[in-house]
Amino acid sequence: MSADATSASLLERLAATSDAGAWQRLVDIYTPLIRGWLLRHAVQDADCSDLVQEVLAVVTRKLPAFQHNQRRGAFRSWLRAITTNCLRDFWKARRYRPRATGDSDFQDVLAQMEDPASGVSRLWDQEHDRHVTRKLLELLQPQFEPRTWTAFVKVAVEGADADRVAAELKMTVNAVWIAKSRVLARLRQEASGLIE
Amino acid sequence: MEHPTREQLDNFGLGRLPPQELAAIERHVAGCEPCARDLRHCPDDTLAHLVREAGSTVGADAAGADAAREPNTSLPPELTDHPRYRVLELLGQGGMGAVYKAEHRLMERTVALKLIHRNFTSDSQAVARFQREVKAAGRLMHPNIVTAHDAERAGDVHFLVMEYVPGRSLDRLVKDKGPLTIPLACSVMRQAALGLQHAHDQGMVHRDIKPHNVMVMSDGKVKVLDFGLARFATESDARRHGLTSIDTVVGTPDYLAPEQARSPREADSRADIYSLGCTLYFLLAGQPPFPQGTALEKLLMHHDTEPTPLEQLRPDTPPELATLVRKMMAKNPADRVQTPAEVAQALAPFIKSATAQGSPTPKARRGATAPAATSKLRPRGSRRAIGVGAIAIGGALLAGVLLSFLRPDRDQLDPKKPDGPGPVVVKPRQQHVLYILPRIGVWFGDFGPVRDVLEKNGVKVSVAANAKGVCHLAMNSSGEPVPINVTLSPDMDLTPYDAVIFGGLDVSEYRDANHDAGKVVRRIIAAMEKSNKIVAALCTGQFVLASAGTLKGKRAASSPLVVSQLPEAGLWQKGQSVVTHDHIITGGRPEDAAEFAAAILEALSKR
Repeated sequence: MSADATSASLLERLAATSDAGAWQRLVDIYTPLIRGWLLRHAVQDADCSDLVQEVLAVVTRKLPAFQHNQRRGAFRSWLRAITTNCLRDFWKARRYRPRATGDSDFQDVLAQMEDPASGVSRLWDQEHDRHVTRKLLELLQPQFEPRTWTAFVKVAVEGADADRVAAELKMTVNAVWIAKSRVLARLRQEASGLIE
Repeated sequence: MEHPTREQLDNFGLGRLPPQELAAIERHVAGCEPCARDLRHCPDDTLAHLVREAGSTVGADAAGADAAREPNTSLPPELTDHPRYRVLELLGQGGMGAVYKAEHRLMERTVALKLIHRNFTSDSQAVARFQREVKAAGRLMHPNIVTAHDAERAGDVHFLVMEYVPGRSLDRLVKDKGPLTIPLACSVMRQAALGLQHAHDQGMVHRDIKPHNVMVMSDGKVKVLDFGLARFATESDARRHGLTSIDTVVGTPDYLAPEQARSPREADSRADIYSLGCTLYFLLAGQPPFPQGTALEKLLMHHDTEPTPLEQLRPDTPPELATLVRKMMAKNPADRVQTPAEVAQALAPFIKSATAQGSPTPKARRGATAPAATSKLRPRGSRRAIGVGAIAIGGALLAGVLLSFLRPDRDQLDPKKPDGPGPVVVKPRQQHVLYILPRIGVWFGDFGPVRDVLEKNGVKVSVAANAKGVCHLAMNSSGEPVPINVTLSPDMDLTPYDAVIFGGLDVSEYRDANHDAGKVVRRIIAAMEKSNKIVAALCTGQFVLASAGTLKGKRAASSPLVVSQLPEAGLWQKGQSVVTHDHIITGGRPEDAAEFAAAILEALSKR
């Protein structure tokens, strides 16, 4: 674990544009999310890869200027706005046909994506948070001792009883709680600005 | 180091402190037994909640995530020794928290306690809102509404004390017994509508009517649950610290009115009518209106897709009842039945006819049915399974009640005027409409609902295409492939038809003037226009008229896709869902189908 990685969140590392690893991580996390979202809700497969690249290119270009304003969910709202704009540009340029769910759908999705209180936006937020949490957990796992990780997964993810986990892993309950605290702290730090 | 404070310990458990502080507490916790014990009660925050959800499979919808999330079923210590309530058993796990059966110690009254998860009561404002909603709900006094007694607290645990209802929620009932008989479904929904009307009279909107929230008791009485809670959950959502509320509110939007998805605050009492319609659909069809798809896709389908016609899933549905359900589920609130009282009234005839009928006595059949009814019960399942414990007794009785409603005879039903849009009188000669659809790529919403209204009003509908057999649906369209009655040909006789209608979605074969099919439809349109007959198109069906030049200089309803591709083809009327110009009728979107059909009927009636 580099000193860098322990002291700054992913978003902060990205602000220092020289960190290529951080960019790769951003792309790894967000490509499947944006792609899945677009495929399910807006566009056909053939157009999708272009659009995902377009969205990520805009994110890359504008992120240094993006001031995370401490408001919860600011990043995902920003990403939602970028995605909406890219979709609209594509639409205007008629570079693709919206997925065949009735043409009115598409305008409606765009309109709803612009309204933070709409059902679509709320689902976007929900899917975003779930996806990013899941991805970050995958990426963080190698940084922990297997036993620490297992204890964390059992109590924090699966909701298992701490005493049972302790007995199973031959550690004290205290150590189980410490494992949970450590992983959550690390996750919280890496995710800072992305999901809270 | 001394013991950390409760707050420090909670923050440690969640990894929510600066590194140095975490390290200090960690050193203490490593060897402190009481602190390890206390950490057990550390509440989840947003991140911890998300982590818990991460355990569910990737891309799972909210319902799946719900099932995967292990509910915390241990009784909070504050409730184990409550001065007023003795908790008897866990009844279920709701979106907002666990529900327990309990006894009021002094009054020996059985009640249900609904715990409100800490995430919802994190600040004094949220608590005040919760108390306000419960107070408002407490004013509702109606036999078809579960009475809310009180908002209580024990330590920092808030809970709602409400009437204990021994019975089953409708989702459970259908899960156990399959779709209900028509009279039973109508009786249940009629009672729920009466309860709703009472609430609406008091200015209360439910906002979360769904099968889980309607209980049927052993004697067949129905009670609606959870008034005020949906609103409380929605408003708490903005400041939520966990995601539980979003699961409650939009997690599985099977019964959510379109306007509610768009803007929860704007929805009025007619949103409840829509949800009630969806619930009735579920009771009769055994599935919600849009059983497939992600939560988002469902939201959108509520917005602009017609569900599979009830008659297809439940052929014995009287047409009048199917029409009523459709009208309750109209996309536009203004098109719906406007009050629950009207719903109740409209449902009454379907109940009477059956109760007047002779039916097997409950006793005679009870033995055969009761075990099946009870054995399928899971110990702790439905999110709202209030009163599951009482079902061992109630189930048997309920089976009897169900049997007493068996076998409705359609012929016995009161003849009722169809509820279709518009009081339209159709002339004695049966009018005949030619409905031209693409051979491949039908958007069912451009056709099914229109055909239904036309046929209900005595108009004959013949489907035509440039092929034999069936028209295939577009990807993602609901509905069934549409059988072709007439194959288009250059020399076809058009005299029988009073109108020609074009539906979408992929009408490319008709757009192309050099294509045989394109030539034929141009000839048909010209011939119909010449004899002053009606030419109509809905949504992307307008591509045919637009590319044939029919709409040149004519006012037409604006369909986004058509307008964007052929901006000059017609005088597009923004914001108008259906436009009639001379003998040309256009509809903008599939959800305008009813209005579109009404305009066609009106034009037909003038011919």
